[in-house]
Amino acid sequence: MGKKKERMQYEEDAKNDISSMIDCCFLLLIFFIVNATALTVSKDPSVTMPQATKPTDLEDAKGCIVINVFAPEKMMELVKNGDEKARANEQTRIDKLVETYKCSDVTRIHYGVKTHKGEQKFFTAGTGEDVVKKLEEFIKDEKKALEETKIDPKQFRVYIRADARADWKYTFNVIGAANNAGVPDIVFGSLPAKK
Amino acid sequence: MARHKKLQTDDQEEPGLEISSMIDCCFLLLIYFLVATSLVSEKKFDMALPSSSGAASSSNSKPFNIKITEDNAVWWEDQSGAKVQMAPTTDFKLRPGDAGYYEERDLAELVGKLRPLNDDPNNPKPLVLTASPFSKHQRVMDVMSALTQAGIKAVSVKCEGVAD
Repeated sequence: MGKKKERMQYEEDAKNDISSMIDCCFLLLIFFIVNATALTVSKDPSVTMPQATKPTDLEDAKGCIVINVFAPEKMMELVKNGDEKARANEQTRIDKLVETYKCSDVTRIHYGVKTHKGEQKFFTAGTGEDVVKKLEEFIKDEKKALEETKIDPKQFRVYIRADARADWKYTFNVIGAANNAGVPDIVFGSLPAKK
Repeated sequence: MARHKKLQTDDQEEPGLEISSMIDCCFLLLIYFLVATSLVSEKKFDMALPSSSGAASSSNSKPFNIKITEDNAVWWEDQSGAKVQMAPTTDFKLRPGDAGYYEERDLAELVGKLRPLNDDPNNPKPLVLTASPFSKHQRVMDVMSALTQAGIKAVSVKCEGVAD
């Protein structure tokens, strides 16, 4: 009989611990939920972000029209000539690009975007391709979709996530297209430089 | 006596069961959001780009020029047309994590040249950034970073050989 009493006491002790753990869990959960929604722009992992010493925080992702600029030529070159680590790294990125944009020739994927309908699209820059026009049309479409939401038109901006190794002409095309489409506000994505 | 005790212990154990499944659920959510959040968030530049031609042509005074060549060297050209090289040529073989990667990002000399341009914020001096179409995006961002450090809010951007 005495042994039974002891066991019961142990059980009650364990219950007390759990309730405080739940509190703690909820706090962590809420913290991460808030953090996760801070930047809802689609991040394409195939872009090596450029680094900058003094960038500012992107406080609000609302109204951002995201355009990814890739460096497929550089990726292919690294797959051919890079060291083993770089080669494996770039190959997974290329596979990811091919899978996302459903295009077997990775050198054709210069720009990658996600439309407001959730559709993944890519654009090719090159001879005979009027890529500025296509980008302009895309930005105009997105702008029209944004105008139907409650977002302030002053917040409409083009967010350029360009690969650090991409040629400047590709980024410049986006700037030109954004100007033509009537969204002159441009944001360059970058990562803080490691010290 | 014995019967009553048994009943009591049964009653006490029941509420504990529901909580344990909630904890499981909580942990799953917690882990999901842990994975979904990247702690190094992306940053941006606050830089007005007055179209591609913009400010330079509207002002009477000759603009200051920053030029980025095909091999990623940065040149500074003041109103008299004198040229000074600000950053060395590079082919950006360095990757994040390699030694010396950070040093290359900081164009302190260029920041020093740019600071006097911002003396009078109401009347900013015209500044044009011209980059070769084959210069790398990272180098342009280096220069943008220098502009931000110098407190410059607007710049005209050009691409060599591309019409405005």
